[in-house]
Amino acid sequence: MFSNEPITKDSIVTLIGPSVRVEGDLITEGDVVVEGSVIGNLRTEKNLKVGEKAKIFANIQATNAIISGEVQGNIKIKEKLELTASAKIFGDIRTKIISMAAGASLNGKCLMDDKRTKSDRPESIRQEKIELEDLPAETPTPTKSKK
Amino acid sequence: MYSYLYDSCLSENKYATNLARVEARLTQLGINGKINRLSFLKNIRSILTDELKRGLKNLIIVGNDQTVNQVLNLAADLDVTFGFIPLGQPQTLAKILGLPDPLAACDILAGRKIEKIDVGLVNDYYFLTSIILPGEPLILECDQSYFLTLTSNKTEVKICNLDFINGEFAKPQDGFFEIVIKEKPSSLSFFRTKQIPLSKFLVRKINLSAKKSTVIRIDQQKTLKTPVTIKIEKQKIPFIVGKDRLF
Repeated sequence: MFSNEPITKDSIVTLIGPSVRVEGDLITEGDVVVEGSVIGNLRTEKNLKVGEKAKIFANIQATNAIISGEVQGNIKIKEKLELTASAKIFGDIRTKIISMAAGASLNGKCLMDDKRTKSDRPESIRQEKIELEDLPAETPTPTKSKK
Repeated sequence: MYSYLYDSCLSENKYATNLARVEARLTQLGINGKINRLSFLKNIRSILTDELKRGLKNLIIVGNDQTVNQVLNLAADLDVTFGFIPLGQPQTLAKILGLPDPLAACDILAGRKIEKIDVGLVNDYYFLTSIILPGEPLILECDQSYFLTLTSNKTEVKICNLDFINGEFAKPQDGFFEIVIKEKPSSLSFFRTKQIPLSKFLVRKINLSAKKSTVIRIDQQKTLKTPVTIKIEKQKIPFIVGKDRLF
């Protein structure tokens, strides 16, 4: 799951089961596994795993995270963020590396913390600069009437 | 200077032989001392008062888990080193502290390998092993920063300091309690292979309250009613331990 330090039985410091709700600021130094619900803020120095049925209504900070459930809040990950197919994110993401499986849902901005910069666009003498426009709203396709 | 505190149950004949062997071994090792026997007429507090006047430095508890819990509750604040010679049942603490049998415990006492272990304080009551909470709606405020709410009535909650959790052992020197929340197994769970869900938290201080006053069980013997405040006293108790201890 995480390339350097996978979550193991011994490394889990906080485990939030399905029948538990945490409200407030949960700040810890070890691995966290969430199968229940969290409201408030969730921060760990290590790894975070959010289960498929977990619901988090909180801002999240972690070093690495793998998310399979629902998160309503902003997510800040120092290293790698993995969104599985069942992940639903309503908030902004900031991370160094991101992996998104087909089916994952992200409703928010995604900012990458890597040092790579975008390339300079070369000057073109044959065509004027093209301004990218917003995508038009979906219009219903007119149906052909039967004669 | 060693002072020995015998549990009242050790006056029964079935312990006489083992007790004689223990006393002989202590004499051989040169660590024998004054023996105080708990009884209906002589309680722990009065014994400790007398021993402190005599310059108590090492208090050796002879008995079972409950003897240790009772003594520590009253003696935790004293500037003494504790030891334990296990006699009688239950003996979970003996296994945790690396004391395989009474005679080996005597040798371990002579070796004086001392470790400081955490002790919990619930209101004004010291406890060593764990607190068991009933499976009723409870609110746990942890470290004054977050609340735990149980959404199911069918749960067991245990606050561990020096105890086993689901086959593993809670560390007694890290300055934290482990809150363990398990779902109570139903009658059908025997046929199911699915693991019963478990929650685990590390905390230093807990404010425990409930909508109606609830009884909590401390160290398998003492009961208190909510609301209570539970906090850890890190590495408060110096204890003579064996090399096969679990921490």
